[in-house]
Amino acid sequence: MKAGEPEEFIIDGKRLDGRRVDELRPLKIEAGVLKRADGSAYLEWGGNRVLAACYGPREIHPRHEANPQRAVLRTYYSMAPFSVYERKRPGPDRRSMEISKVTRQALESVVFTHLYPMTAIDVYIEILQAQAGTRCAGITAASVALADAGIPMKDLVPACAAGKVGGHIVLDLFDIEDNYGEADLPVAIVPRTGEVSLLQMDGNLTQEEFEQAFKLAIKGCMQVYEKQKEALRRRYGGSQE
Amino acid sequence: MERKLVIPGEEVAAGKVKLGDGVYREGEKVYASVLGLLDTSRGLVRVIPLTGRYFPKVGDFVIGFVKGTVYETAWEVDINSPYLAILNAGDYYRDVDPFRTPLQRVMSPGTTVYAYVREVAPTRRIYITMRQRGCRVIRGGRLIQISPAKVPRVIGRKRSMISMIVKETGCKLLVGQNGRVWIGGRNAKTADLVERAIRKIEAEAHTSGLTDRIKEMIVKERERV
Amino acid sequence: MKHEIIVDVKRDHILNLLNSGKRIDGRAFDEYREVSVEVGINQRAEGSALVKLGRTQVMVGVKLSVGEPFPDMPDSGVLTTNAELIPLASPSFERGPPDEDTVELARVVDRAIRESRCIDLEKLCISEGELVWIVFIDLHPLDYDGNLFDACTLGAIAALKNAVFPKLEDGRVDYKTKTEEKLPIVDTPVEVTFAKIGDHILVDPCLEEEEVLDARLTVGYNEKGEIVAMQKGGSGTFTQEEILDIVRRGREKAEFLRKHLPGDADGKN
Repeated sequence: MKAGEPEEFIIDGKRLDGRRVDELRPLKIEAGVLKRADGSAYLEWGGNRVLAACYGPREIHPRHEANPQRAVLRTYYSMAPFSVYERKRPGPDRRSMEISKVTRQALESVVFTHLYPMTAIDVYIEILQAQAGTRCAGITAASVALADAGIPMKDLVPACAAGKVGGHIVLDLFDIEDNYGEADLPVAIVPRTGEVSLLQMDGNLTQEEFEQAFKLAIKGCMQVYEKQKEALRRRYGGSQE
Repeated sequence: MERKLVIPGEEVAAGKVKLGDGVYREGEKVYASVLGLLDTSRGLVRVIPLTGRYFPKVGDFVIGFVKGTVYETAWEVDINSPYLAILNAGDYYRDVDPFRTPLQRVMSPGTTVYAYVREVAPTRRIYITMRQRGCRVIRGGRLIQISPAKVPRVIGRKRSMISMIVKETGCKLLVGQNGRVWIGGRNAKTADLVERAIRKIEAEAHTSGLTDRIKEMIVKERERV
Repeated sequence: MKHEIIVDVKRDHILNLLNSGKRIDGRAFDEYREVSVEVGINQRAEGSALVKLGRTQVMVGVKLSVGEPFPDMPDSGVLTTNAELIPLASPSFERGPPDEDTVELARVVDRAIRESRCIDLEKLCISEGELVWIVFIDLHPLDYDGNLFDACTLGAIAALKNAVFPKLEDGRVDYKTKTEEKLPIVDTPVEVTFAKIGDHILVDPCLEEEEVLDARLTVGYNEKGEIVAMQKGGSGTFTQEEILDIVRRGREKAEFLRKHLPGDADGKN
């Protein structure tokens, strides 16, 4: 056992933060929170606090990065220095670069970039406070920010992780479970079709465990999707003339 | 007429229907691609965006800011869209010879113009001209920025809203499809009133009876002005 | 920061309004926009604050760690202020290493904190010459609508006052366990920024005013009203009378801002 590792992760069907194995942490999303960005979203998911902003489509700088056939989607995931227990030095690190890349690819799968050649659509994700699952929180918030900016897309992209902790398959790991767990599986989907646009895994799972965790993560994604839609409906006032 | 708010990915129609903007087809069904109001009134299915940047179309009048010159024979103009607009020397409202008078001196960076979109090239180069009736260099007055999605409401069906505002206040008003609005006229208090009216239209664009309410507001408040 | 062209109609309009005694958002020349300060909003930082100044929003986090003191100040804690102008907050902020605007912001905020000696750095000494507390102040604008200097300084002092020490055991910090002990803060410096447009002097420039200003002057005051920091910016100039007048008037503006800080338990700010 690692130093500080809890003896049990699930006691009487309840996890260390009181949740059931298939329960999401509390999730609140608000769309259109920033003045300067074309689209934005603020998200609170358990102990995560995430702000996402979208600028675009806009002129692309440097010019040589422009693509004559489609918009270039640029995504930047970043953690504020005060977002984690041990202060994070400002500036991109390798982890942020990888997350930026997989986030971009998850969003690219739905954005109709061919409609805006020679432009950039820039998405910024800022983690203000972290409690595990920040990449899923980032993709979820970014997707709402894109819709809030009026960017044409196939669908929203909800994301959610599942994993294995203390031998049990659970939904939406929080930091203690993420630190001491046996596997972490973030997933993002295109809700209408069920297609998977993000899938990563680290840890150790058998075939059956993987299938269980995968299905659970997708169920989680669909719950996150409802929150995304709610946030946009609240911002734009529901049914109107 | 109730128009439903739709979210990208939401199903809006099925079968053989004509498609407008803001929707896409997959197989038999049609889905929304942008956040907006579903409109099926004109014999086609489209979504009117409630948010988003301005995309130039031929025939649009826009308010632009001169950014600089290109190759000494044209101006680059910021029209609040992802694509920079080009105003060739030959499209200026009077004849200029760029080889005798540098274009910077004819119109320097920061100059504001009311211009007409005459061409949207496949490369997404936007060409604007000032040789269309109504185009001019704008001086004085004030500029406000509204969401381009709300411009149709500020203009109104058959220009009903904009004509009413001008008639009731005596001010000058230029509305660019790109969301930039210029309010001119000598009386600052009237211009304040017009600015408030336009902000109110922007906030209530989705409601009915708006033209009458704005007229009421103007008539009431101009007594105090 | 990218610098945009100045649109003449916009500048003329603002100047005309100023000439007739009005500002573009209807405020008086010596009036601040609506100010709000929330503290303790972040559970990972040892101290945190969210400041809103009109539509400008800044989040400030204070993080504490331990390390070696500077050799020339062996019994003193270390203070360092950092800013990030993240592109999320404005279309004019670009990615990359800190540019001159970012560096200026961090240094001007730091100046007021440091020169006012508002942190009793000697109380941050754990073992002389070997181990001291290091205080990191991270300025993180989230939405830029003008006047980051004042918003960031207010946020910094609010976050410092909000900060508590984490548990220290055998020279290692346990960030997950907070103590009850607050940072030793003995003063509350505040910065006030004035902008000059034409001949007019305005307090708390909003974004539109910042875009067309000729010069700006930021002045930092401690609780006694003494001046602890100053920074002139912009490529225009101030007359000497203007400077003296600003410094005099700024003092009560500083007190106004200070009132928005959450109070201590004993009612003092």
